[in-house]
Amino acid sequence: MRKKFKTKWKTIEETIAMWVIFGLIFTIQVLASNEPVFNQTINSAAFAVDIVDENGNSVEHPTVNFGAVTFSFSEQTSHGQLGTDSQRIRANNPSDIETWTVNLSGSSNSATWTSSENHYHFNDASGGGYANGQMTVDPSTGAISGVAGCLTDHISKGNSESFADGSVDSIDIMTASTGTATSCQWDFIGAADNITQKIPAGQAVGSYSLDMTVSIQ
Amino acid sequence: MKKFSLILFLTFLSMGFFNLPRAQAIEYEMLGGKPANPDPNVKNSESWFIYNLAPGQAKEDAVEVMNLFPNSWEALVYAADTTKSSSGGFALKQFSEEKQEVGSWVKFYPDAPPAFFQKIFKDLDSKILALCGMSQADLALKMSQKNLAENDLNDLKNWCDGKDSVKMELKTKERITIPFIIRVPEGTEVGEHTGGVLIQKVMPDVQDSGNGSSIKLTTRVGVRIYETVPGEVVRKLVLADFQVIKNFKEFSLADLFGKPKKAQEYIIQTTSKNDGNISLDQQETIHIKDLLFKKGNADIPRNFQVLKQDSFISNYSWNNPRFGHFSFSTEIKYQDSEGKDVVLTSKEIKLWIIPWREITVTLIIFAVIFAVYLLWKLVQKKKYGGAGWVKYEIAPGENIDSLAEKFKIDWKILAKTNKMKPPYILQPGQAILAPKIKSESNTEEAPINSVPSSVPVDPLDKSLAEKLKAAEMRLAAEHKTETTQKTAKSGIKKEIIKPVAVLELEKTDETPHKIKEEIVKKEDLMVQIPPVEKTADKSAALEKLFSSKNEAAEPVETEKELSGKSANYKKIIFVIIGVIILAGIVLAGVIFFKNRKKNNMQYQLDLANTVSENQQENQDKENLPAPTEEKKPEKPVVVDAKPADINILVLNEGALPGSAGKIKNFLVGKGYPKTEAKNGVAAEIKGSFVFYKDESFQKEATWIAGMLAGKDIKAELKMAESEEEKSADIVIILGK
Repeated sequence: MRKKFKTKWKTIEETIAMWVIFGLIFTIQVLASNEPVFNQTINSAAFAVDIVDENGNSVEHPTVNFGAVTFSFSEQTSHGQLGTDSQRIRANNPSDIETWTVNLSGSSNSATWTSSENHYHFNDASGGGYANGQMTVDPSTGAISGVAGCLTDHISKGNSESFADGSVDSIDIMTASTGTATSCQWDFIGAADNITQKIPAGQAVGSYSLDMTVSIQ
Repeated sequence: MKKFSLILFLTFLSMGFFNLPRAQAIEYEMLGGKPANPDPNVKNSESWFIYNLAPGQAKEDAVEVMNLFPNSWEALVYAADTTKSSSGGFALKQFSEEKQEVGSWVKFYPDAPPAFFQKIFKDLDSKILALCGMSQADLALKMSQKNLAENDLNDLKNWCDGKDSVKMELKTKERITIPFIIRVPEGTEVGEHTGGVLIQKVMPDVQDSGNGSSIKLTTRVGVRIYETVPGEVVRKLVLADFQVIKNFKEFSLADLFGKPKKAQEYIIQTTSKNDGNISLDQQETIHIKDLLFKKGNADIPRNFQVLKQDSFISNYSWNNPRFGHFSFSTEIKYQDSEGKDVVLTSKEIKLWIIPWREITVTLIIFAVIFAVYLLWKLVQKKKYGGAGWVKYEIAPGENIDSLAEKFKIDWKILAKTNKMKPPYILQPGQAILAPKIKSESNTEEAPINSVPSSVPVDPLDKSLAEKLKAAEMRLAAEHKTETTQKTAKSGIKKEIIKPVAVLELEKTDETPHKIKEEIVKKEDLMVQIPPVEKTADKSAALEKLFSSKNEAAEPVETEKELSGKSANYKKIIFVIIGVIILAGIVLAGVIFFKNRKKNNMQYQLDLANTVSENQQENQDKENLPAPTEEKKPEKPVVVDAKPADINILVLNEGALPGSAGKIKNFLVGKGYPKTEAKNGVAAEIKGSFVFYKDESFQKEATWIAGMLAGKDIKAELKMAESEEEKSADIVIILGK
């Protein structure tokens, strides 16, 4: 009789323990329910591209720095890196659409490298690019990596191209074709010197800046 | 225990159940947008705006803009036309660029209508088109007024015109819906027209750090617009090109100097051209066959969209094996205007893949081994080839074999060093070069009979030496006679393999012993002379004598010779350094010229791109400016006309109706305001042309031809000849 009572009590104990655990999990989930509910509402069809750091945090002022060159009466080139470890290009595709493109273009075709009163071009092919300045971007040397295990199949890197006003206004960095994973993120990290700017001879000394746009569509 | 396991199982199960929504949900920090009113019956309408509006028709829609960043951002929302991206993909123009197509058809309505009309607007279910489409009379009737105030009507008119762009502050996690109207103008060509609504981050102004030049990056998201004007749809795709490109260098310096290695890949590049008037989905299958091992066969599916009247280049990175023989081909499938499947097949490209890098590395290793061997030989030669050797006078009875044994070197080296020729006969008293003998203390000493060339020979010493030589020869002769007799007695014919010095015996009464005593006396050397016995091996006794003399003799090797030896090593080191520097200079030169060649090639490519992608073969070379033409001082200076002043005439002589007008608008947008368009004299000509009146317009004409090439119009550049061609500064003829 005593033994039977003990067994029964043990069963009750286990049942209570089970319900306590259930209750605990439920409470935690309810307390943390804001995020999943919110996520579900936004989880529909909106591409995005951003420049993020190693931890995936958005970089407030993304830049591509170029190596300094000294004044010269000859034509010269300066190099930079598009897509570094700390400023990687992240493409988001939470939609079901498999085809998208990330490309780089000037803020306008008439945009120029500017340092106060001095300018030179990023998209003038004349004189082999050296007459007024031309930029070449080579995404092919970079690497595409899927975030959190996203597959990179069917995503291709762009070729090395030079901006030329009217003919090459936008250079592809990544192109996703049919078959690409959806609801995923991908990072593009470029190789060193994947951007080259040809600088005209005798260009005035200064810290030049150029506005460019990374687009996804 | 069983119950406990069950509890654990249920716990994990419940955790999985509750976490399921979280696992499916993805939170992206982003600034983006999407269609606010997707049509479930239209595929992809949840991500893109897809319309089938006829010319003159308008549609009201909205874009949902969202900021999912944890902080607020300013966003710029605008519509833009499409532009061709570098690989022919879908790209959108920038905010500041002029809109001529879909970008100009979209107007935004971020604000509510004027307060006076808000009630009607509400009654009309907030339909912009309905409100803006009402006549003045209808509006007055709705407002129960006879006449509406002019100001109110103007306000409404301004509101109905909409806005080209919207700039707004989006708080964190905020979503805003912005209504817009897309209105297709009358006369729009049948077929597809593309553009997009863009949501762009407005980056706050930052002061230059002054640390050098930099690009300031902004990001934006484009929501595509596909508007297809109903009518005769042409679906035609052409497989323009197929090639396999080696996309790496076998010998890249970047690989050696720590830069990230470029993948050893081949690019399988397919270029397709859409000659239709709507975008086409192409289904490509790349076939790779392993012709050698039959193991690396692969069929790779690749599906892309090709915009109308556009070329698309698809690149497939193939990480090849390092060795093999492969064939590549591709098939492109699409649906034609009648809905039938059309398959386009490329030529087959066969390729040998040979690991040049590995082969070269192996050869280099062999070359290094060979060089080391040669170096070793050189060192050997330096060691035994006369460096640091001294003059040695041949004693009677000595031959090359005995000398080699004496100096512990190969007789060949001795012969080679002294440039002796077969049968290597040595005369007593003959001076040769010989290495110094190492004594027990391991210090090099001159050979016994060495005669320092720099020391003058005392006449007395000379006579003594002569006497000694004569005595030695006599001993040797005696020894030789005995040996010959022994050989004759034994009846064995001794074959002389190695050369033996032939000694000429000089008769003298003095015994070698006496002479040697005299020498010792004369030289005043405290040498214990061993007695010379008349034994068979007299030469050994002589050698003994020589060695005892040698022990007492002053080393002939001078400091100068020792330093000469180290100087030789220094010389070798200098030669090696010199060779390395020379190789460096040659390598630098090769790299320099290679880069220069590359730059020239790039220049030519740029030039070719400017004119046309495929025009180069057909181009009249005389009309193309040479790469250095601008800089040649001897050429007459041609003052180029300014774009704003150039009269351009676009003539349609066989192209699609409206083409001339489109090109005119395009050129006006590109800064050529004096551009006219009309139909040409000829009804239909083949090909398109850009004629320039004189050289002052050549540069601009070249530039225009390049821009037309960017719009897939391959126009041939020519100097104007006929009246029609000279009817403007630049005449563009658009043919079939």
